[in-house]
Amino acid sequence: MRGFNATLQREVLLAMRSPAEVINPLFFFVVVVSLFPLAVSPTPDLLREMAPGVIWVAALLAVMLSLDGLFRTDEETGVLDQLLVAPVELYFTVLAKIVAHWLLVGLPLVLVAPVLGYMLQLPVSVLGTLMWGLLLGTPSLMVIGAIGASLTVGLRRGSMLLALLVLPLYIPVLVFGAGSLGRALEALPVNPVLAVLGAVLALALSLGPFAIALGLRISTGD
Amino acid sequence: MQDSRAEHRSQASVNMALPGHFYLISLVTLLAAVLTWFIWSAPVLPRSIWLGGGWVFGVVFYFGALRYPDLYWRTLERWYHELGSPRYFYRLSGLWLPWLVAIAVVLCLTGLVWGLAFAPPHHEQGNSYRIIYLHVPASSAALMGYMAMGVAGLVALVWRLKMAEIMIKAIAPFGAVMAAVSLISGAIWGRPTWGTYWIWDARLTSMLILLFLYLGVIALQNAIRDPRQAGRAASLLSVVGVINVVIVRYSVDWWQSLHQGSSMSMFGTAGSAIHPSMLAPLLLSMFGIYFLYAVTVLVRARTEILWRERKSQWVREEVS
Repeated sequence: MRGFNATLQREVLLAMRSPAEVINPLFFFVVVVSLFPLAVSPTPDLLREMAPGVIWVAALLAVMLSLDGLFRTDEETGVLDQLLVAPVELYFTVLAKIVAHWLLVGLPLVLVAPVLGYMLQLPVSVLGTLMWGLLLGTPSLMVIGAIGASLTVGLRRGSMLLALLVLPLYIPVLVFGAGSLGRALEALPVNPVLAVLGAVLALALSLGPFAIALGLRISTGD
Repeated sequence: MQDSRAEHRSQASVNMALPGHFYLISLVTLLAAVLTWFIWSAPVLPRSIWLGGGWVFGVVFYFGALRYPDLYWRTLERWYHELGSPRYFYRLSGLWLPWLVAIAVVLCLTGLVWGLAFAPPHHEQGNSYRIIYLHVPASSAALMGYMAMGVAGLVALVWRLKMAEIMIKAIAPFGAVMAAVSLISGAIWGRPTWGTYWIWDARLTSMLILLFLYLGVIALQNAIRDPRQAGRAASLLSVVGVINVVIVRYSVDWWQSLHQGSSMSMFGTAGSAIHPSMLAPLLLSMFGIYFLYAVTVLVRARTEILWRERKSQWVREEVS
């Protein structure tokens, strides 16, 4: 757990010193969502119908693009090699990195999503479901994406490859996430769907760090 | 007598305790079988076939592992070591290959000719249904190939077996092609049957995602230069993908029910049972494709072995 706290503090400190990396995904999320009314139509009914898919796909892309740099800086500066040989469990180090990354990138997405939802004409009553869904869904997206990032860390032009690897794996989260919002719009019960998202999160958080640690060891040729 | 029996039992228990990884192999095989069964829940084949497969597995396991543990584990151990070594694998697969080719050709020809020319026409779909003799084997091979990749990936990660990595590299392209064949033949079949080439049906969507997953594994393998590192990375991705494929399958089913799309069944609403006169050639062509699969994978694996071991003495002797 010593490794966990130290890594968490380090990540947060680093992010505070270069806030652009935290703000850029958020900005990307907002811009992508605002493209849709311009591209399709500003008709409120149409926007409301599209909103779940648009918001979830935009959040998913924002998370994925932010993950490209998750291990890259550490790899370039040699920190990653230090982490691999450090006498602490890599599992907790990796978990700390993901938690920190989610607090810095994922949580702002969750907080800004209701505003975007309102702009896409979603009724205020379903904004809670939107936030709950993203709250449970974005950490899973982080973990799954980090598996891909760990495998592509040493590669040139790895970001396109990362997208190819990770996007098919994102489909369940996307389906259940956007589905929960769709059900809320039809005034159907959403708790079962949110529970499934929670189950996916539990699976991802418990097993994911193992896969990420293994992926890092593979990528560094260990 | 009593003594020797006790001795035998203790020996057996020692023998059973020694190769601990074989328990894991059995477990993984069983898991793969169960997963395949869950995923392949499309009502094409009667459940009895899968139950039959389960029985065969159970009987082999009972008589093998429980009644004659010595022989069973020793055989497994020998296979494990021999097939795990690229050189022995190359020699053994060279012996199998002609037989496999012959069986594959005979089964494919019989199944396809029987199915395409002699099986009775369907009472609703006429002759257009005959594409199942290509479509169903391809879909099944695509699914099983991904399962096999997952199992090989686990073996490669846990025991660092070089052959398992080579296997993943050999399986992925054929599996991707099979997924594509399944999608294209399904589209051609869909036009006369459903009135459209493509529809976001749960099964079609799952197969499309499976194709993407295959392409991801292939892309990752091509991106990494070092063959060992590429193999291990692809192994990890395959294992993650197999776990994911199960969730994808259920999420897509749920998504389908949410949107109340037209749920299509392969043979109308009259139940999923296939008449034996149509089923027999289907089974033949399915097994034909499996053998074709084995042939392709072995040939690709053999080429890969030669490439990876090109600097070793035995390859030089083999090639010269």
